[in-house]
Amino acid sequence: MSTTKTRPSNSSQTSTNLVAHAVSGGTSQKVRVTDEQAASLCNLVNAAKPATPELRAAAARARQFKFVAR
Amino acid sequence: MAEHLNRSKVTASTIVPLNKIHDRKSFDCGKPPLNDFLVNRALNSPLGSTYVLVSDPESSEIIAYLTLAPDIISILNNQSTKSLAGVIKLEYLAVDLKYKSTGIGTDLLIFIMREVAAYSNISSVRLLAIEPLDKEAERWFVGRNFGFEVVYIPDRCLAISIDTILNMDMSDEP
Repeated sequence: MSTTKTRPSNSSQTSTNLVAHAVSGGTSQKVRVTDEQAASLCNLVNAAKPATPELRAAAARARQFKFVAR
Repeated sequence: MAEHLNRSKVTASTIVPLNKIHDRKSFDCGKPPLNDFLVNRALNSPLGSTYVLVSDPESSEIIAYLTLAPDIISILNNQSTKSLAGVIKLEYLAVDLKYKSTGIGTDLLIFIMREVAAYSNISSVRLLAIEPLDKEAERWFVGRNFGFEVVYIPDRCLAISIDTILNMDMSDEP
C-alpha cells in the first residue's frame, strides 16, 4: 500500500484525492489521503454489505435502553 | 477491586444527557484519559455531546457514558467537489469497572448504531466512525465482528456504513 500522500501532478488518471474534514467545533481541515484510502472510504459509503452474524445476534439480544432527552 | 455484576442483575435502563447532577468523579472505567474527559471536559466539550447510562432518570451514578460528534467528510479532486457523506463519530464509549463484563458496552454500541441509523433518515449521515483510544479499545471494537472497517477520515478510524447497520435488524425471511 502506498504511503505517498500526494499524487504525481502530471497524471490525469490519478487526480489528487483529499478528505475534507469539518469538525463540530467550527474549524475544518483538508488532508490528503492516498487514492487507495479514498477508494476504501467510497466503497464503505456506497456499498451496502450484509450485517455479520455476530452483529445480528448482538442486535437481537441487546437490552432496550430508553433515551430521555431532558 | 471492583465487584463485577452479572448481566441479569444490571438494571441500567436509561440514557440521558450528561448534566451537573451526575457523579462524574466516582466514575472509573480504568482508563485515565476517559475518566479525565468525563470529569473535566465532557460538560462543555466542543468535541460533541455526552450521554450517560443510569439506572433511572433521577440517578446520579454513571454506569457508562458515550460522546457523539457530527462530522462531515467529502472526497475532493482537481475537477470537482463531491460531498460524500455525513459521519457521526463515536468519540468515547466507557463503562464503569463495576459493570465490566456485563455486556453493557456491546449493548450500548448496538443502541448507538440504531440511533445513528434512525438519524440518517433525516440527515446525510452515512457512516458511524470510531477512533479507538488505544490498541486494547481497537481490539474490543474489532473483536465484536460487527463489520467495522479501517478508513481514514482523515485520521485512522473504524467505520461502518448506515446501510450495514440497517441490515442488522432485517429478517432473513423473504
